[in-house]
Amino acid sequence: MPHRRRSDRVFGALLRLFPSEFRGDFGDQMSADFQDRHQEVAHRRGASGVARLWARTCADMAGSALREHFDVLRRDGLQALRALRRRPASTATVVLSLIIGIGLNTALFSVVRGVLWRDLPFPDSDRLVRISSLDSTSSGFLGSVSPGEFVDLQAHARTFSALGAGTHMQQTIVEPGEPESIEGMTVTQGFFDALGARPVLGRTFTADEFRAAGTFELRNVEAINARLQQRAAGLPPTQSAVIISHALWQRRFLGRADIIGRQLRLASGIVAEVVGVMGVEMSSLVTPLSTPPDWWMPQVPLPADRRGRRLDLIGRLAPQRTLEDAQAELDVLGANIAVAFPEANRNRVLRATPLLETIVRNIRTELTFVFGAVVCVLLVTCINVVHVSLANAAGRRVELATRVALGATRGHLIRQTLTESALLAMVGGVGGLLVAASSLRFLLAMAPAGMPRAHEIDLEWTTVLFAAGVTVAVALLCGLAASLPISRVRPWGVLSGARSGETIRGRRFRRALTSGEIAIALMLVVAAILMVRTIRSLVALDLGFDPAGVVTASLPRPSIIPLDPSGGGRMRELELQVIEQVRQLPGVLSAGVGGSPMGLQMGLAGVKLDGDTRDLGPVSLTPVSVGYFEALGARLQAGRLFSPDDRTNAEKVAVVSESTARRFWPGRPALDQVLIIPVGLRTRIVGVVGDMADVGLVTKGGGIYVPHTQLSFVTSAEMAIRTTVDPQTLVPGVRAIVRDANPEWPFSGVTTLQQQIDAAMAPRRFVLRLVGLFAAFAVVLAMIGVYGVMAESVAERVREIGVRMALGARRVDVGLMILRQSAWIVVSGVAIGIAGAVTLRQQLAAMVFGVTTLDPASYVVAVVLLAAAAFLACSIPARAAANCDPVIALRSE
Amino acid sequence: MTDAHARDPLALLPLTPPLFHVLLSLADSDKHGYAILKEVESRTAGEVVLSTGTLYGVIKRSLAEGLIRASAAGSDERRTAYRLTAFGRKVALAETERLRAIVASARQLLQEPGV
Repeated sequence: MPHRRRSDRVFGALLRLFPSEFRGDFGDQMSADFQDRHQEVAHRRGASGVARLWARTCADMAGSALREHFDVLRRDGLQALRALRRRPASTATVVLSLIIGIGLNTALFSVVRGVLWRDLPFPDSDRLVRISSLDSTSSGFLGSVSPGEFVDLQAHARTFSALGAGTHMQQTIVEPGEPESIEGMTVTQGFFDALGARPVLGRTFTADEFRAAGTFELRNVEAINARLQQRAAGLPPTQSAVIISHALWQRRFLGRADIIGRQLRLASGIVAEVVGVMGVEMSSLVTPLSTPPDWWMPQVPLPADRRGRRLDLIGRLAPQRTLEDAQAELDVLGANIAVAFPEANRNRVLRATPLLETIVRNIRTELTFVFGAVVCVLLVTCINVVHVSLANAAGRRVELATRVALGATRGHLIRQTLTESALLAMVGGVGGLLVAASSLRFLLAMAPAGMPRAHEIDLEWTTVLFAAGVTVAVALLCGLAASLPISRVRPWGVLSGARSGETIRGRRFRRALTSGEIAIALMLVVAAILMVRTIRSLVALDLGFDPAGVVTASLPRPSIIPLDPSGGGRMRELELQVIEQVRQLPGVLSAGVGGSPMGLQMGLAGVKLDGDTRDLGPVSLTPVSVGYFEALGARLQAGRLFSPDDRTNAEKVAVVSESTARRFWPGRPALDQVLIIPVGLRTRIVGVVGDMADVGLVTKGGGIYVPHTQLSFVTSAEMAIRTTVDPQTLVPGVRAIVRDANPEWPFSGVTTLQQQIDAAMAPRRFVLRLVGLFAAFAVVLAMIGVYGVMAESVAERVREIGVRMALGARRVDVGLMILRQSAWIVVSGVAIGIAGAVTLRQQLAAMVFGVTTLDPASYVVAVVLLAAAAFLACSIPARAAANCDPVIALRSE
Repeated sequence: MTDAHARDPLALLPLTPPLFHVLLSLADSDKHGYAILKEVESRTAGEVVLSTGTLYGVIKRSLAEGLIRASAAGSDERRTAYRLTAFGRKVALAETERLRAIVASARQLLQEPGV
């Protein structure tokens, strides 16, 4: 009957949907019943009846099979729960560590995803690139382009569908409200289009507004002065349009809907009408050193300007074009520009970098490392879960073996173990998600200030998905690892011995896992110690200046008294007057204007030696006032510092830093040499100062310093004040002096140099705190693992210990025996850990300073620390073994 | 196995209709699965038709609860016959009583004439 056999086979296949136990109990009966019914229906109702029977049977079998599987799951779950309840202490420890482990992983995942992995909040943001102009001889990464380069690229580049550029600058809003200096950008046509950014209110700039912007200069002192005189004379002011950020709108204008059309009066003499408000996504657009811009104004790049590299250029790749296409084209265009403008573009190359990369590059190493560290913590946590499962399984060996002997398959036992770890992982996952939700705030508070995209970090569905994924991974990993020795249960062996306990293999496996825990903990401890040493090296670093007691405040220029005929000159006189008055304040040792060494440096091209036509390449130029070097505590190495006699009309002089002096005049004294500076012409070197740490802290800079009175253009500056009193007590007095000199002068950004140094160290401190926390956590977990394994070992050997003591072994010998046994675990763990740390040291290389990643002292300290902790953990079971009473030990058998 | 005497039959109520029908079908004699199917079908005039999967799910749970047990009488080499236990009978009776009470109160509420 071939027909019959086919239906048999199909029904057999349906039976496979059921759990094997159920199939074994009822499969044959079900088959027999179904065949009888099939026969009967075929006989009485024909083909249509058979078809209906099959349809009903399939649906019923699927539904019933599902129910049976749930039943098995529920039973296994209850059994697992009972097993875990039998060891409340170790279960609680493991659940707690899982909650913390998964929680920390999930929280850090949110941070890493929000900052590094998530797309920028612009349409098709993976097609956005930053185009940099770089000196091919330098190792730079980001470089602004000149207006000339921008115009050339706009005319010739075909791999981009849109190009736009912007220049970061500060402007002071004078009205309405309090004077306030605010970071912003002037942007070219196409800037918002390239980003694909649209205003949430109002509009972007019109062609007319760009045309109007082409007629005035925002930063030129003479132009500003002219505008201020125009205002004083009652003439209509120069008008521009401005778009403000969502943040500024909310903060300064309280989110009022009537912001569009409001007129803002700027200290630079412009009256700007608000035409739009951009969305919050614009605050993601930062470069490593800039804060998010709060305003945008139109600018028109001048093709003839080939040296003022101040445009941050953003391009959107044309459809079907790749980054490689764009780079290939930029190589050609860059070479063409270098040929056409050898003066400005010799040795310069154009480079395309994904925009996201330019934003997060500075934090990538730190975040990736910390994330790797937290994954290590999770691994240690997992090992502890395996320990508990194995211990549960060992306690159940007789039960398991009996079940195997009675016909339970190994699959059942593995399933039971998997259910156990799934149960633990599930509690850990749900708890972890809660921990992540509540710890994210603290994590963000710990993150270095100014971390890009911090506002984009939140818990959302991918976070939940991640937590779920980790939970499943933990359950599988731990369940399978724990079932490795179980699957080798040999019922005859266990039942004949009738002693509950682990197999030798299971015991070895657990010791290997414990060694693994120690290894991971050691690696984290090594990393933490290296970071501690890094911070200590940084603190002890010779900065080239003395930050103690130095206050800095931003002093944004231009801020000129209207009606001043001599413009810039008058402004500097005013600055000098302010400095002089500040110097009179009680507790002030010295004061000056000139920008913090930790602030942005201005690179200047076109500097030449006297009698030489060669361009010396970009060199930092800082305009400073009298008292500046004294306020910072810079070290004069030769010649003199600036004096009040270095006025606008006096001989042009400069002070150079030590490294610059060496670079320009190797082997010769720099004093009295002459430099040709584009903005100041023939300049005589009157002094040499020591190099000062720049914003990177571990790198030093300096370059050329000139008296600010002798510079014809304006830069934003900072006031530096050296005090003997609490810096904060000075603030009201200085504020009053500044107000007095010019009510439109914003006085803000008061910080201490020490705070700036702390900010520069913040990313490393962030890594140190987290890695330190993770290391401590891993050490505690590893010690719990060591303790657990040794305690069980002692419990198992209690009879042997009893015999030994009955035969005359001393308590001390027994204790030592246990310690010797644990020593192997610790030694092998330490060896693996050292090997691991040495292998992975490159991951840390970018962050350590003042210590090598192979620093022997750090490794020794880490090993001693771990060995001591392990000794403590082992000494409890060792003491228990030593204090064991042989009579009781032997009676228990 | 479950101790039938110590347990309260009411704890298992209400029974699912398939379970109730299976217990009823075993009330008069031991039967194997297919006979149970046929009995339920004929007693309900074809209104309740149990499928194989559902039936054996019910049988498994009834065995676990001690409502029925395997019986040598009526088994052959392919099939096991099942017998209603004393506890199973109590449970079926309790369910019948529960249903009767519901029917009675429903009749009263609906004021069906002729009661």
